[in-house]
Amino acid sequence: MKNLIKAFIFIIILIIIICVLNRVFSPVGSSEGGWYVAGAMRDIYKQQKNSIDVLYVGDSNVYTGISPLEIYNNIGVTGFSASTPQQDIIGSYYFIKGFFKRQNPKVVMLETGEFFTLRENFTELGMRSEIDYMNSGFDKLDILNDKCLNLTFAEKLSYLFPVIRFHDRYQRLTEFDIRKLVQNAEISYKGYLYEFKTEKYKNKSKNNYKEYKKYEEEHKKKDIEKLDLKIPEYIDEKIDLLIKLCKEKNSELVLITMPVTDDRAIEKHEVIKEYAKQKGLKYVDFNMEIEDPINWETDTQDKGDHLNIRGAEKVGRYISKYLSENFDLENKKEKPEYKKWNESLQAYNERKKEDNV
Amino acid sequence: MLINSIEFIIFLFVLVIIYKLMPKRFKWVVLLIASYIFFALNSGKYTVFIILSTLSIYITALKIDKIGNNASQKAKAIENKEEKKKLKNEAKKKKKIVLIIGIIVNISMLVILKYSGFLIGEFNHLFKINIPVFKFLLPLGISYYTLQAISYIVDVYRGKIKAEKNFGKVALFLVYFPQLVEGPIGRFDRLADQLYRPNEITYKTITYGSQLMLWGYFKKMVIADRVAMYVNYVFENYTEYTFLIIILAIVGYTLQIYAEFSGGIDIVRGASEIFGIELDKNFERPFFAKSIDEFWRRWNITLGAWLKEYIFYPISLSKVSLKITSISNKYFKKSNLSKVSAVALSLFCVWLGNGIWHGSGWKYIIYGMYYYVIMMLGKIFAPLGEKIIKILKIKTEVFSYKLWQILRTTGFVCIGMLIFRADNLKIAFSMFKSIFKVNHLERIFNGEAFLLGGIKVQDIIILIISSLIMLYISIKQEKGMKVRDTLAKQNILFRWIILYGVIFSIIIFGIYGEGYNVQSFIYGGF
Repeated sequence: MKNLIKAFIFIIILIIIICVLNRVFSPVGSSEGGWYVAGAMRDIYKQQKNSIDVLYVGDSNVYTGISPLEIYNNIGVTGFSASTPQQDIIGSYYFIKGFFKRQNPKVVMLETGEFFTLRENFTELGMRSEIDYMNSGFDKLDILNDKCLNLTFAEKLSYLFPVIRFHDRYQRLTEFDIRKLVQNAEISYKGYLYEFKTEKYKNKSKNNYKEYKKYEEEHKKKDIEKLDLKIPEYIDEKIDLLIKLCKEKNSELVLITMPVTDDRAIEKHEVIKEYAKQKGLKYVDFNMEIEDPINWETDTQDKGDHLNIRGAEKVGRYISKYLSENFDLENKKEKPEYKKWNESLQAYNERKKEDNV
Repeated sequence: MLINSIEFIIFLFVLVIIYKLMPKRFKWVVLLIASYIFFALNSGKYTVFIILSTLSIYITALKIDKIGNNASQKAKAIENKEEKKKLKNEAKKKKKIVLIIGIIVNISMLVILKYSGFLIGEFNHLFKINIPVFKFLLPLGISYYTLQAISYIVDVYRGKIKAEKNFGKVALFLVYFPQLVEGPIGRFDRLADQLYRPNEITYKTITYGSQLMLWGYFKKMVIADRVAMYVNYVFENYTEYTFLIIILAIVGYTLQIYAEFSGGIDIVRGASEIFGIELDKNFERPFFAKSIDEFWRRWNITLGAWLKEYIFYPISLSKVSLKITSISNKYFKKSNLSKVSAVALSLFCVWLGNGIWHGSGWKYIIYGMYYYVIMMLGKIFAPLGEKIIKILKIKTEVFSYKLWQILRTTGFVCIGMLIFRADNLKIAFSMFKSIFKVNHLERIFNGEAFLLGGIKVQDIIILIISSLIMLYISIKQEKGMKVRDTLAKQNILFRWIILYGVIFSIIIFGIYGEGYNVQSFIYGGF
């Protein structure tokens, strides 16, 4: 019995050390390469139970373009951005599924940026960022066993224990990797990664309301089937599951497309619009329908790839209007139990003020 | 399923639970089934060969036993001594025929699967013909279990052991999974009882076994696979390098193969110890050997012992050998040369066998012959060496002389390793010549010489520290310390720090996973 207890304690300590090493060695949220940005949504587990009304899910365009505090500021509706770099539909599905276990959002806004990504084009950055953020009790095992990912046993193990995959980072560990044990990579505002920096997009984007109307005129007899853009089957399967899930939870799934400089954005818009119609889903495209169009000279942080705070403000205004017009969501600003939200908002506004936004 | 894979750990974990829970009389059956699963997972349809081998030695041993028993019973009824002797001789002849058939069956399978490609290739080359060469995948551990199979039937023939009547038990002796990967080559008299008895898995067997496995993984994954990066690179691009880089690669390979082979043996011995089954030692710190002879008594011990028992002794006692001895006694009187020539033939066969066992190809034959020549020269010039020592009044008991002996032996071993590692003899010779050329000295001074094949400064630091740890432990063991017993006596805090240290050194500094080319065991290919 004494030996059994000793063995048990030995294993427990071993597991604890492994968990710490997992966090230290995983590049997600570290200062390394493209991994650092993936620190935004870690606060998801710190949110008060059933306090979020709108969930925003998607890739980097979401955590750089949708600021839930901006929307809270406008209409008092709470939201959280559960977005990670290159987040695919599989990750989105499990985030939403897991989110429903803790929260009861009335609206789930799913971004369509990865709707044309083929399964074989999934990147390790994308997969690791989304899976790393799911804690073990948060559908991590579910996603690892998803047939669509087709992970080998060794790969699954490396997702559960990132230290196995990234053990050779001992050569590149920095102080930051230790600090991220207790601190996020970036200060996040309800999953939004604040960025003030501007790097203008040098070309001219045609993704706006005016251009779209022109396109519609020219292509009155358009035939979507003729376009070489197809939504892959695995995405369709997950969308069906999401529709079912949201129905069960009395929530509504809305497809959204964030402002992009993509040359084929209009064509993609057409395909998704048709797809949403078939599935009976609401669809909002912030390129074609936003009245106050994105200025790609001032509203982007990285030459048209992602929005900065100015762009996020514009998107925030539009989402606020859209939510007010289409959903009956409660303004929670005056509610005492949302005092912390007001404190977060104050910090957010102060940061904006510092930057003269 | 490599033994340095997570699948193996899971396999072992599940097996320990099943073995522990199984009623006593079925415990050996669990090992048998598990071993066959392990074999089949590694060898697929080639599993049939180990079954054939088992069947052949099972029948051979029973037949030998039966001939012996029949002869003994008949002899009891005969009073005439001459007739008794005649009967015994006849039985011996019959047993010998059965034994030879058994050996031929097993050797044939080994030759067909392992050597046919080389033999047919040479035959084609010699007679300018074109017989198609079949390439077979080798069943797991065929070179090991074939020797075990032969030792079993020879021991039955010699009356050292009784033939096992239970087919399953013979099968387990041959297929027992830990020893299949890279030995040690087990002997029935030492292993059988341990395999068949219901062993208790205890806290001690688990901790001691796991500790030995951990140490094996440390040697394999932290040292051997790391140095392999450098070694592989230099051996692949040997034409570009000379002098120190070639020397480093050869010494590195010697370190690699030692850390890997002895590490692998530690892993399988540890895994076996968990089940209370102690496999024979295969290494006794070979780089402390002061002569080549001693080196081979410390390196791959069970192979050396097998060759001694089943090749050296029978040939030494054969009529041909005895005739050579009498002729050499006549010509060289009772001088040193007489002693040397008495063992020349047996040693030739031993080293030829050793070379061939390691692989099919001329380089392996030369590898064996290299050691044969060194040993013979050592024996021939031993008196001269002793005279020089006497004349020059060299102290042989001092540390410096012992160190010289160790370094000299290691030097010879390194050259042997060069033959073993190089793709062919031409390359080995070319690399050997490159040692004496000095080009691009700046590579040494600017450190480039040490950072080849993806090796970084951190890797060199890890290699130096881990090799020093291995050396320290070897010195302690050489002085008689039993490391695990010593560790068990320490306070729990110190003990656990050491264990966590080894575990996390393997996890963090081990060469595995993406970005690394995981090395399979060199001796696992035999």
